[in-house]
Amino acid sequence: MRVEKHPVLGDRKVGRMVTISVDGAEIEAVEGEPIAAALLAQGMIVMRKTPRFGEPRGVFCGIGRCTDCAMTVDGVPNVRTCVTPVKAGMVITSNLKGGGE
Amino acid sequence: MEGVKLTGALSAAEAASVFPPNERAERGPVAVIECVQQIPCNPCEKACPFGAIEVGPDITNLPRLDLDKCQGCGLCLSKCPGLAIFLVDASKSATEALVMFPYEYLPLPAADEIVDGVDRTGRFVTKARVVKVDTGAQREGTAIVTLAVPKQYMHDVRSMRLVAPGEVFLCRCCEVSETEVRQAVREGAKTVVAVKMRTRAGMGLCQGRTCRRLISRVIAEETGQSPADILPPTSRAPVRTLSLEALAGGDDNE
Repeated sequence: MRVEKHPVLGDRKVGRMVTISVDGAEIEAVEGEPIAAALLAQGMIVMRKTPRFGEPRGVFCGIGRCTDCAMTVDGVPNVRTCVTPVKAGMVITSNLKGGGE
Repeated sequence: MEGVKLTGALSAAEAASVFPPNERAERGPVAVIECVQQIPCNPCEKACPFGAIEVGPDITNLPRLDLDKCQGCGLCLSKCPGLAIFLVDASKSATEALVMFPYEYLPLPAADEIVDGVDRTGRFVTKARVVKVDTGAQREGTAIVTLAVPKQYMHDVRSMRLVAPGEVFLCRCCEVSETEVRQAVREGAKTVVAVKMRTRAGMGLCQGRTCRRLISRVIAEETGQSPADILPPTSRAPVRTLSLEALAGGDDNE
């Protein structure tokens, strides 16, 4: 799901569709949209598991503050996907291992 | 230090400024729109099928509620993105009032369960009985809980607490619970930095942006001080998280 009509920002601009890789699967995304938006549009809500208890986390604040949506992007760990724009060919991996205390 | 701008919760005066008169609540259910900051937002206006809520063309206006048009249907409760709208109803009994509020946590309570009714800052007010939990499709995932509370608390109870207080995480990143922080303070950690050294609270990805205030509050409570007197943690530049590559100048221009 994407917001097509926004009362303040207006209509969603038609962007170029690109392909990114998420945990090995190829998904379609709009170039320039936040990575988290592309994942949510695919119904993917768990982006990592917590280091201590291994509980699932996903988009929480959506403005780059809480770091719950952090994933590994092109080899860089702890990237906040809600404020990082999609580029063609990105390779994204979630940290689903987590801790097990 | 009080008021929504400083604490995130309405002060007593701010809350009183939006209460409907008691006679109105005695007559039947009525919305309480606890929105006192001029932010650009107006879903409540469209949510009301009776036209009782008016924001107007300038969407930074505060919503105005027409107390006579409001039927107490509660449709606006799940539409307010800030969860700032409540419903009170003092007409059902001489001693109890109903308080309805949006609740976006799990687990949800069952009807007739006795829960802790809490105020706008999450502090315990009174035991309350769950009357109804509405998770219907029109609520779009935001459950609406109805509690029966003693009438004198009608304007104090604004949510409830099911998870035991101590189990709540103060530091979300490192998953440090309130109990662990209190234990650390009792064992001698009287500053935010000392708590961090014992528990790791504040060492996670967000670098203490959320937990430092909560930890200050716990230290203040445990030591009988004012939160303003608790030394803040050491903050170092950069304010935002940066990769070392960005600091070093990157590979294009160096």
